[in-house]
Amino acid sequence: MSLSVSLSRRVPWQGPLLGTGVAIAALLLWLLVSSLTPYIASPGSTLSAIAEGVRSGFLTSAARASLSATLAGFALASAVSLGLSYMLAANSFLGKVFTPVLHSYGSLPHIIFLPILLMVFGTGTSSKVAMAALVAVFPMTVNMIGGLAAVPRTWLKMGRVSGGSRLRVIAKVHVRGALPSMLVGLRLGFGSAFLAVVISEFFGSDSGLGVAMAAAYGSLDYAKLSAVVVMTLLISLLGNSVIRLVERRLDT
Amino acid sequence: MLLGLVAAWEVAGRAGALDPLTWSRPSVIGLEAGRLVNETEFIWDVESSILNIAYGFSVGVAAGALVGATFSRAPTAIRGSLLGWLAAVQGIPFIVFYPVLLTVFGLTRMPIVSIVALVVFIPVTLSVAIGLSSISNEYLRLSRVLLLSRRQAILKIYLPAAVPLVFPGLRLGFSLALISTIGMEFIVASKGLGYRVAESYHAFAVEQMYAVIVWICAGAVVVNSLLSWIEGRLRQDAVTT
Amino acid sequence: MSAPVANEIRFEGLGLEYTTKAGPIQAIKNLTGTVPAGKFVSLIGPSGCGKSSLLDIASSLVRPTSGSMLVDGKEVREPRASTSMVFQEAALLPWRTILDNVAFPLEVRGVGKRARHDRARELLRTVGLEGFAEQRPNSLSGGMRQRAAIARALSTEPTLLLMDEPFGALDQQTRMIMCTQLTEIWEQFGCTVLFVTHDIGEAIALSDLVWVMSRRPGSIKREVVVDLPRPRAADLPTNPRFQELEAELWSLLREEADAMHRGTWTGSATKDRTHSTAGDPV
Repeated sequence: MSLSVSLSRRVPWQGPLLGTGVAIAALLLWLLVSSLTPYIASPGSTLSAIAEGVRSGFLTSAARASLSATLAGFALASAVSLGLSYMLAANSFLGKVFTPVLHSYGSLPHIIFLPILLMVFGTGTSSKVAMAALVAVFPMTVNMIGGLAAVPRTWLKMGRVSGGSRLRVIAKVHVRGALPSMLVGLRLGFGSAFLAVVISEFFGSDSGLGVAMAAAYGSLDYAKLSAVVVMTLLISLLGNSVIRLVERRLDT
Repeated sequence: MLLGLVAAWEVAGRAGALDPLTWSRPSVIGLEAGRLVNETEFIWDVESSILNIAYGFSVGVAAGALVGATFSRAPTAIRGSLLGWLAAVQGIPFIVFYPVLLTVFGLTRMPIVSIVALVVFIPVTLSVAIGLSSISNEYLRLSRVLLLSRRQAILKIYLPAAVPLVFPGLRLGFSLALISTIGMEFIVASKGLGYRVAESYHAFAVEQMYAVIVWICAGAVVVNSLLSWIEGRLRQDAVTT
Repeated sequence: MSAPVANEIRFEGLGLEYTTKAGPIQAIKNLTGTVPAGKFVSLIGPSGCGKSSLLDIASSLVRPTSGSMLVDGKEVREPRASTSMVFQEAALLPWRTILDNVAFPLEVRGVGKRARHDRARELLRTVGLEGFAEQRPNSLSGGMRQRAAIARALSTEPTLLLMDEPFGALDQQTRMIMCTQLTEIWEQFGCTVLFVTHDIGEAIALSDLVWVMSRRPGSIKREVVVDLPRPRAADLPTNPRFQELEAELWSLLREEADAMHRGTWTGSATKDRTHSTAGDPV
């Protein structure tokens, strides 16, 4: 007990230390497991596969394809969820009626709609983008509604009494006040969108990390598979961290 | 409104405005959905999916409850950083490990169940750890004053107090389990509801595909509504302090 | 700074009804009264009597379901540019500096950055917050935040200032200081003020006129003129006239509170009725 008490006094560096510790532990675990089975490539061979992929450009072009589809789907979902969430938050009747619908929608495994999208849009980028948007719109909307609902009514009153157009007040007070929650929604939405894109690509597409993953899986190239998986994780983590940074900068 | 959409779909289909190979018609789909229920293969698919979800969920909850309970006993500072770290891990899309696990375990249940267990473990641990640690000290005092045995205290005070706090995590975990399972079955599997959708698509059996999709959605919505109702009841009961 | 024109506000047969889950509620019924131009009028009354609703109507945030509000003789239904409001929670936007908060009404009305910042700084000086322009609201105390909120309300040179229990969340000492400061500031601006409070002493110290509202459905039970000379002395509570007024107002409020607790709800209570007997057991 005394050890933990003294540890707790030095809290500031505890967090990053723990993080680094866990990362190192994970790396060692990876090393161990990869030495036990041939199917999991070692960190070393993964790294060289990544280097090779970057050099030949196949990994980078796949990443770019997936990312651009993600961003497109993300943008689409953001626009839709902004409008939807404001409607549901501002109008209590609509809100009461459509919120359960929204939550039911969120409980669905959206990936099963992919074949429908493929039939409609073909196997190109559009179906990926559509799938990404379908998936991302739920976490974005839910968080945005939460944020909008949490803005105190007095602030809105104050905004209206201050004069100026209704739209201006909505933007400067209501939306701005909901921004922290909105950013959380955007962060979760980005993650969902990216994952949806990669899975869609794995199922069947013309480009992207999912396609590369399926190819490596099919040809039993374990190092390459590992490389693509790691790449996907890194991009996912990067997107998450970037938006987290923005959240922290905002820090109301 | 939903009925309106379905009706419009039907009308457009009959009028020939929609390509039957792509869109089919609600009436046909409905018939197909009814037929499927009696088909053995479909029932095996349903069973397989349910088992995948069940196994993964149970393991995830068991591990999560254990680790979460342990964390809740930890001193506040350590617990804070542990939970913070866990929350950060929450963002990792574990489903990308599926192909790797497939190469290790082959086309069995193991890859799906392991990833589902992992996916369930995180929210459950978080909610158990936070939930247990936020049970007010009043309860502790109450159990002491009443001179309850450890077993009695857990059963009669802690458990009822903990359930409403922990349930949201369980609910989230289950939802993720369902979505992940169907997702993984969809991309690579030998049976299961997700697999059936993909297989129908590849075999151009459009009505069957839509029928399975309808069943999956119906199942998901029903389960979600049930869990939502339970959560609502728990929250009501938890109001009294 | 020249004193702007102040408004006379007249409420005629005002009524406000709204529906809740429990059924329709008549917040205000048949309320008639005049707020003289340039005067400071306080509104006191039992909780739930509709004081805040009256302010909402006065600011045109809410439309009355019957009756009308006349400003300088003209009926008003839309929010007016020259009305300002101060709330119990200062409602300062936490992501803006104090300066940007005070300049907010000017900003949404399209005033240029330089002009509105200059004006905001001037106002901050008036309320005694010059050094805090670049701070965020959460580094200010409750009293300071309210001062900033008052500065913000004054930024548009209002002819009508509505205040909804602005000092309600402050401790006693701060409240007394704020009262003195408010009077000083008001005397510089000269606008009409409608001030809601549940503190009788505060109402007397600040106002020219005190309206006592009846219990719900609210109307004006009595108008009490505060004939204490201005400027009001710091030791006002020792003044015998103050004490008389305080006693009078207290008993009026007590009547309403007692009636409420007895569970009686009369219909409309017009201005001069002092004691309701409608609900007394026969």
